[in-house]
Amino acid sequence: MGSDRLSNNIRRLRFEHGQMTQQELADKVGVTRQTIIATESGRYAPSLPLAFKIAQTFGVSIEQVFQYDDEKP
Amino acid sequence: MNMTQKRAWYHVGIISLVLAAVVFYLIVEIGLKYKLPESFWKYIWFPASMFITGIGISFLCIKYNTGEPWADERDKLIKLRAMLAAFISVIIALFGTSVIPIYILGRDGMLPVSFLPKINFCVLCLVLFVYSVAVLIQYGRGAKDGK
Repeated sequence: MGSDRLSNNIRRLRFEHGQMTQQELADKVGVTRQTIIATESGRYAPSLPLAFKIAQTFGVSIEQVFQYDDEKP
Repeated sequence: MNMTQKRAWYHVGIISLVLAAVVFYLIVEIGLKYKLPESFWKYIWFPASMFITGIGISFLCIKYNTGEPWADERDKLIKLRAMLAAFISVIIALFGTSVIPIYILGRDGMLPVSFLPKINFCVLCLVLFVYSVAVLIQYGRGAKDGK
């Protein structure tokens, strides 16, 4: 379910947005807290709509939240 | 712990209890050749099953966070994979129940008809068990969920 090539800045962005908790982010994007935990730790690659919702919540572009490393084998 | 995990734990618990009851029955009635009294089934088995059902219903109905969705896209993916594992287990179980009796009883061997519902029940338990364990393994991978 996860992707080794996909990294994210969700944790940093949460703290930059008033120490937002995982639960608050989960409520805003309409998923469970467990999904946020799994996404944040890279164990789950979210769907495109969810990725956009997370980016919109932080008011940044999707590339600023998720990075895809295509140089990894 | 979300609803899917709760259900999975509940099913694993119930199947473990059923398995324990079956082992108890086999040990007492077949191993020790002791016939359990009618009152055992009447006063213990029925209230115990009602108690377990009651616990299960209350366990499944408690939702500590009302704002949280019951299932999201990750839950659906986890359920889909668990369903696939359960489906594979059905195929294996059906193959096993078709082939193993031939080896044990021979090609002309016979089984009492009363065995059929028991076999079906065991297959159902197996499927539910595989599904629940598959769900729990996927949620627990990394053992960091919920922390």
